[in-house]
Amino acid sequence: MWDAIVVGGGLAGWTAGIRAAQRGKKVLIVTEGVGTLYYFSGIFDYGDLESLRHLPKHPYSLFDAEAIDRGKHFIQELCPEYIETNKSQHALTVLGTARQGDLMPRSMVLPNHQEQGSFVLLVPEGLKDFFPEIVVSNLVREFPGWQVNVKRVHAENFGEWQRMGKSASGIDYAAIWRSKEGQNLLAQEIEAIKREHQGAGSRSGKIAVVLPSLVSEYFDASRTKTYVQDYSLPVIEMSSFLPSPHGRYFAEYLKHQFTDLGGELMIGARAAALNGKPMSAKQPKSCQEIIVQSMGKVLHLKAKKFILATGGLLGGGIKVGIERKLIQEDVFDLPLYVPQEWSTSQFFASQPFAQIGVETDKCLRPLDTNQGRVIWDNVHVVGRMLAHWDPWTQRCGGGVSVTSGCAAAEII
Amino acid sequence: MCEIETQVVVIGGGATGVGILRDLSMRGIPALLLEQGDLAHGTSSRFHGLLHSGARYAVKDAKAAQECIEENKIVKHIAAHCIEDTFGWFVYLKGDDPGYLQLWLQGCDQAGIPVKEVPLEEAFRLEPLLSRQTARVFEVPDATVDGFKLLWANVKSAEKYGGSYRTYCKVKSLWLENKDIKGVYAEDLITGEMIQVRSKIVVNAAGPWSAEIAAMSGFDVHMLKNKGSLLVFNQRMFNRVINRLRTPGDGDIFVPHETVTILGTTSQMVDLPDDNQVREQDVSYLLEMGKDLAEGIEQHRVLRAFAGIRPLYESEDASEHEGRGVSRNFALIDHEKRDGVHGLVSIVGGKLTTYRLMAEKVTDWAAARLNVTTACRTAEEPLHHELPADVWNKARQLLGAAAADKMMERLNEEAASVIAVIEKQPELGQFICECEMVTQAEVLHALQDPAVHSLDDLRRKTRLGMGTCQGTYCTYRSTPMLKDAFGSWERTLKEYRILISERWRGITPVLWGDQLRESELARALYLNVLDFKAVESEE
Repeated sequence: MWDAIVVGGGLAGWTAGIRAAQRGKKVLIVTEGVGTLYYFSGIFDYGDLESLRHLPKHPYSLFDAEAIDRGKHFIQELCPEYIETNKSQHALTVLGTARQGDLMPRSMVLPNHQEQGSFVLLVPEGLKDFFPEIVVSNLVREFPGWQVNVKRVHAENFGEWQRMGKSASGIDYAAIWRSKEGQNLLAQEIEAIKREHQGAGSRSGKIAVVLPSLVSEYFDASRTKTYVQDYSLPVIEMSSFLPSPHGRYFAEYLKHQFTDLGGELMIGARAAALNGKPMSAKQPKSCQEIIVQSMGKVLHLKAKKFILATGGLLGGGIKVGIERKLIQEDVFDLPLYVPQEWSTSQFFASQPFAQIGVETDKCLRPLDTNQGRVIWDNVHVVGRMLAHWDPWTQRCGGGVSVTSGCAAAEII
Repeated sequence: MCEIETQVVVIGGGATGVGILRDLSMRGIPALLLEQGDLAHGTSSRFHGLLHSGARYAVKDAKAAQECIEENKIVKHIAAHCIEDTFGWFVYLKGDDPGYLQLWLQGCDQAGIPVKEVPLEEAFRLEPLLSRQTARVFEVPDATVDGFKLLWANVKSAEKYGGSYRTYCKVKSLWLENKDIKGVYAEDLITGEMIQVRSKIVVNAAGPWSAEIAAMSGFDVHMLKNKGSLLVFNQRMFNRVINRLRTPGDGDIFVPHETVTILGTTSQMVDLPDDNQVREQDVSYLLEMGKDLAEGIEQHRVLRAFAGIRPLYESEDASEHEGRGVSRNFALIDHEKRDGVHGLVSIVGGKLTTYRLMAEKVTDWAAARLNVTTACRTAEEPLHHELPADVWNKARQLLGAAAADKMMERLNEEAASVIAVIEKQPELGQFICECEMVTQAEVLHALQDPAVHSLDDLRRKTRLGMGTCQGTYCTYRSTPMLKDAFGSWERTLKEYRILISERWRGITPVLWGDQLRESELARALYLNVLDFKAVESEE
């Protein structure tokens, strides 16, 4: 018997699992796969908290300001490199445009637009889905007072591969940058840039090296070394493209955090159903166990509380059948809020279908959509499974997931 | 105003128009084709891609059936690279009308369409998804045809013989003097320039727009615009064309194309020649009909829905005036006989399978007026050229067999130069579009074509954005090339938005299951990772 079983291993599920384990609870995470963290840009977006919290049914309306802060602190304790300042801070997209972001690694934060200096874009040779010329022209536009230069860096690990015309992904490169050789290579390149810069007799203006995707070790799952910035020039990381190195290493880091705290993990397992019975006719029901299929076996897993973090439409927790005749929450068969209108004609607009999800009370317990009564007393819904929000147009994907994951863990 | 002189102006860059341009050019008649959009943007690319054997018309329209089987043989010969010779099955289900079956067999026999019965057990083995309600299966020489490739091949061939064409060039009025055609006035929609084309003959081959063209000078070409909606499944569910053996109706044909399958087609009268938005009820209807022929259709992912407008000609003596009742036969309207105007001809109706025959008839008509006696050679001279073995080998070595073959089919003679580029710079062999296996070098090559004015034009030329991701990744991957080709960052973003919105139009009617998931992924990529600004919904 666990104190809690978390179904789903995405951002909200990991957050709930780790936070509960930190609070000394006995927790199991059951997850089918890797979740959608592989699409993580590396930045936690919170969105316009004030206006979103006042939208009648937005998930933020379930939380007070302290709950939102607790979530932020949770991330910052886990990853001290993640910072938030009073002013809005910006990071580079993979296209070299500046994008606003709430919690981001110190190494991603862009300097002030008003300052002057020079950027050196370090381009790993043959990096897939990366366009240096585009980045340069966007940087020049975003930072009129800055000079932009390009330097190519060749990692011999990919030499033969690249001579055949093949590319290497950001994940491949991130693995190189995390190795001893990779770090030495970067350190040498950066030192060379520094010397060149000094040699050219340029004024002592600010200089920063810009590198695509993850280069620093703030998601060091082994925790054998403390993270230090040991390059001779400041390095600015760009946010990740897909598949995301930030997401990959962050997921790995979360996994270690969780298991180090004594959390138990079941990967490749699919929660398929539950057993539970009503406490009394008018009381909410209580779930006793979930039925999980794993490696061809069927397991009955018991817990006091259950946290549903199966990731909504994209994560696979909400299945929409042909012609939308059957729309289902897969594990507990919870009632879903389904918008009347389904989509709008403009792709880049807010889409009604994004609002699909489970309506809950302030304790994140699922509600009956007709009468607004709590259905399960000990089931809590988090992250993208919640109804009435759109992470992409409201820019609050990380915020809602972290806040709800933390809040659910506090109740366990 | 720009002034051009030629012998024949062809209005319309669909299959018929380019077929006419090629035939005229091969007979040495100077001709210019004017198209208001991109080539193949209308009906010629908005159909199921079936090369008819004629069996579908065997009962109702003996003439059409006969034309089809004859042209089927010719097109398979002259355009082998645009055809996949899949064969087609006519499937007779338990409870279907035995009387129709007999009529159909007789009709095929009379039209000269070879029919072979396939034993049921073998049929289920060869096509495992075939409905278990199937009672009998008959094989006919149906095939699948790539409308884009066929069009481009015709244009390339026409250009070689001296023909020319202009896209995004909209005819504004016919130039008439004393009941003599003198040419047309057109507007270049890209530059805004007016163009005066002087010619002896004007051919109206504008498909669903033919009535509008004729009406410019007050002539009545009474045509029905019939919308046909289709669904694209992201798998090759069948290896053959699967028809229902009954009076041709809605939702009764599956046509496999490369890695997808198209299910068609509905039939609905519309007023506008470009009313091609698919309604959700069309989708439901198609799926309902498709269930009769395919097992477990609801398990399959629908990529998108699209629609085209059939330009059906309503002849004066047609007894029925709705949808499928009208003959699919084409008609050549000589406006001299009808309206007393010299030099104007409209070619209406027909279908893609008979595009070449229609072109031949028009060209015969034009040649007679211009006193040209050269005979038609389009039924004999192939549209494609066999490439030397070393080009094939090199391509396969550099790209792998699957990607190389696809590219060679798309590019034919132009493939050699693209391969040479990849050999010199292997990194240009990387795929921009992994679904359709389109390389950077091929995209760069296509962008050099002066007729490519937008990302959407590029899509039609390369199939970029037509695969499973529906433009999500390949649009992003073509960024640097687009910026080089189109000049500015704002323009590049605009092209992104146009293409993705165009794809979205086809996805919204089928927004469920894995396609919905894929759309969420696309939204995450564009609105979050790439930080595109969300727009306010207009609804």
